[in-house]
Amino acid sequence: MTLELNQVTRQVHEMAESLAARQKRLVARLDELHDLLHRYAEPDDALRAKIRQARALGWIGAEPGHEPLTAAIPAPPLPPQVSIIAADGSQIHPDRHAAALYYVINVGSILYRCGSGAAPEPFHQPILDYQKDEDETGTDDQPFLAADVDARRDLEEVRLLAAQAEAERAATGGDLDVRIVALADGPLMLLRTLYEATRQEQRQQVNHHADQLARLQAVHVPVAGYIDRPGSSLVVRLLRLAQLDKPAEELESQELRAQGRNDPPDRLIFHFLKPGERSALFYNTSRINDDYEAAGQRIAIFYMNVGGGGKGQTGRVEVPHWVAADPAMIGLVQAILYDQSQVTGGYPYVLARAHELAVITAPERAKLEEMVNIALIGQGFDARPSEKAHWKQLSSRKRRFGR
Amino acid sequence: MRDCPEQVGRVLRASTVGFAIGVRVLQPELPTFGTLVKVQTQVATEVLGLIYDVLIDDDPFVRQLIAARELRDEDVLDQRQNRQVPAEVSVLAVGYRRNGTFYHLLPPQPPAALDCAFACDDAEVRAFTNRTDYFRIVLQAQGLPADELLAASLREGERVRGGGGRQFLIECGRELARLLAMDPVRLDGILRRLRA
Repeated sequence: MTLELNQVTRQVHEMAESLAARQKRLVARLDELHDLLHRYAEPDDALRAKIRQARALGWIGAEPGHEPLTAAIPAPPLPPQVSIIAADGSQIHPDRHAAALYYVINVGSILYRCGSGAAPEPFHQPILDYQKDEDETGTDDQPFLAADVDARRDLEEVRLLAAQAEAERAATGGDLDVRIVALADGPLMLLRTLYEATRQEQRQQVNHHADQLARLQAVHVPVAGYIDRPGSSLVVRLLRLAQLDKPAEELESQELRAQGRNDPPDRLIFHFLKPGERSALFYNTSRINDDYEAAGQRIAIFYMNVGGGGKGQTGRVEVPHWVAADPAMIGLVQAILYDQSQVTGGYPYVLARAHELAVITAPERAKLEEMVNIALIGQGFDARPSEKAHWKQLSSRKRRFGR
Repeated sequence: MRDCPEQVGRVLRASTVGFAIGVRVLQPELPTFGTLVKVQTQVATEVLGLIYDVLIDDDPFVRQLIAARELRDEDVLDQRQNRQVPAEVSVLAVGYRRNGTFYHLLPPQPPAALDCAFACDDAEVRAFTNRTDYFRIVLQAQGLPADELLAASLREGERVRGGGGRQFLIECGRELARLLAMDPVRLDGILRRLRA
C-alpha cells in the first residue's frame, strides 16, 4: 500500500470539519438568498437594464424569462404513450505513452416506448479515431486534446439523439401527434468542453451542435439535458446583481466577477420546489449561449425536483428555446423526468441505462489496448508503450511484498 | 450469422466434468432441472449432460429497482431481456454419443465456448436412459444436488416411456439398491423422491 491511510486520517477529519463549517455558512446565506428571490420575484426594467449592462461586461449569470422567479410549476400528467430516447457517451482519451495515438468515443442510447409494454431497444455506437497525416490541430506530441475529444463526445451524443428521433418519427409515419422526447445526460450546452477553445473554434463547435438540435426541432422532438446535483450559481449571481445598489451604467466588471464566490449553488435556493415541480425559466448569459442564439438554438435552463425519496432531488434541465417557448413540450419533458426518476429513486431510469450502455470499463479499455497492439504488431510496427507507461503498468500491479 | 435452431443456449465455459450454458431468460422452452442436453464437440461426437442449476444473477442496478415503488412492464423487460443476459445454466457431463452409440462415460473433450446446446428429444432421452451406468457419475458428483438430479432424470425417463414408465422406475430402483447397498438412508431418500 503506497497511500498510508493512517497518515491522512487527520487531514480527512480536518476536511470534514471545514466542510461542515462551510455548510453552516452556506445555510446562513441561503435564507438571505431566498429573501432576495422573493424580493426580485418580478424582474423590473431596472434589473433587466442591469443584466444588459452586466452582460456587456462579461457577466455570466441567469437572465430570467417571463415567469416569476419564485414560480413552482407542477408537472402535467404523463401521456399514456410516449417514446423516450436517451443517450450518454464516454471516452478513452488519447495517451501519448500508448503504442499508438488514438481515442475512442462510445455513445450508448436506449429507445424506451413508455406505455407500449415492449422491451426498450438499446444501442451502442463506438467510434475510434486516430492521428492522420492531414490532422493539423493540437500540438506535435498531442494532436488531440482531451477537451476536443470531450466536445466530440457531446456532439456524437446529440447526433445520435437526432438520428434516432428522425427514425422514430419516420416509424410513426411522420405523425407529429405521436410524442417523442430526447434526453441527454449532462448539459445540453457545450460550455465546459469549450472553455479552452478559441472563439472561432467555439462558434464552429456550437454550429455543429446547433445543427443537430435543429434536426430534432424539425421532427418536433423536444430535447433536454439533465444535470444531476448541479453546482452552478447562475441564479445566485442574478440575485447578487439585483442586490447591487447602483444603477446599471455604474456597474464594474471587477465587482461582477467577485459575485457569488461563497454562495451556495442554485439548487439549494430552489429547495421549495416539491417533487415534480419546476422553477421559472432562465437563460445562461454566457457568450457561448450567444453563439447558440446566433445559430437559432439559444439554450434555456430551469431547476426541477425530480422526486425520489425524502424531499426529492433538485436537478438542472437545459432545453433549446423552442422547447422552452412551447408549454406542451416543456411540460412533456418535465413529466417524463419526474416519472422516470420514480423508478430509480431520484435519477431518470433511461439516463441511468444510457450511461450503462455507454460507459467504457477498465477491463474493456485494457482489452482494446491489447487489440490495438496486436493489430500494430501484425503490420510490423514496434507496438510498445513508452518506458514510463511500461513501468507504470508494472508498478500498479499487485506487489510481492508489502511495499 | 450462424444460428442454432431450437437451441437451449451457447456454451459459456466448459471442462471435462461439466459445462455452463448462457441462455436468454424467460424463453418458453427455458430448460428445467434434470433436462438432458447435448452439445456437439467434434464431428459425430456429442457431449451429454444433465442440467443441475439455473442461475439468474443480480447486480446493484436490479437491487435498486427492487426498492422502487412501481415498475412498468418496459422496465422489467429491459432488465430481463437487455441486461440480465445470459442466465447461466450449469450442466453435469454424464456421457457422450459417437457414431450413434451412447457412452455413459466422461466425454473425451469438453465442448468449446459458444458451441450450441440443445435439449435432447424424447427418443434420445429414452435411448440414453436405457442403461443405468451414468448413475455412478451423478451419485459421485460433488457440490451439486446429486440425489435430486438423478431423481429428476429418472422421472424424465419415466415420462418419455409412457405406459412403460413404471417398469422403468422399478428397474432403476433395483440398480440404485445395488449401488447404494451400503447407504440405505441415501437410497431411501432417492426412492422417496421418485415416489413423490
